[in-house]
Amino acid sequence: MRVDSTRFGPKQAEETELFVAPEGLPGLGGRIFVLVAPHGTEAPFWLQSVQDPAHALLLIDPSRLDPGYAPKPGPAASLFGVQESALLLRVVAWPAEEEGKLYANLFAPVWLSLEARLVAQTPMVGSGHELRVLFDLPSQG
Amino acid sequence: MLSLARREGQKIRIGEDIIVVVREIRGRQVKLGIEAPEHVRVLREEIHEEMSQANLEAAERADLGFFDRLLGAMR
Repeated sequence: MRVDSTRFGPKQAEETELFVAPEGLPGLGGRIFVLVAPHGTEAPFWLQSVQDPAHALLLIDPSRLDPGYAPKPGPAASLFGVQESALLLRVVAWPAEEEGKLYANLFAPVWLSLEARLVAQTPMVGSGHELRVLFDLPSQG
Repeated sequence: MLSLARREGQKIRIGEDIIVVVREIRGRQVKLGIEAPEHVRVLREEIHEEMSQANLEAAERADLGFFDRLLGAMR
């Protein structure tokens, strides 16, 4: 499948790279995304919208930012019909105005099933977590 | 848009799994109870809008230069 991206240019995506967001990802068009992980899924990686070439989210392992962050995967596991242990937890990250810092969305973590190729963003209402949390860029760890 | 008139205590069923009940009507405010499967995202519209704005901000600002800086910092 050919996928156009303002970041990566035209890309030929294999079926194994396509992820479905059953409930969509708020603000982004469509429900199908391409996982772009040039350094694997342990390193930061992207979810590129198939529908909108400009829409891609950069995802990062939140344990590199806040080791105590432990959202519950229940809703995503229920939505995907998989074991909680089969889910990969990531958060959306983007550069802050201040050099060397980033924002991460700890309010609405992103859960992925790499096996079922499903993705969901689940808000944690009442958790005290915020949509934009400022962090230093994580260092080697 | 479908509009339904309901009184306090009355319910609306959406599909097989979702029930909305009018729990209380006080002045200009209505308190609703919602029973839905755990995986169904039920949100105040304002929160959904804030999540959308945050995702759009992230999609606009995260570029390949930032990705490279992030990878470089983590190596």
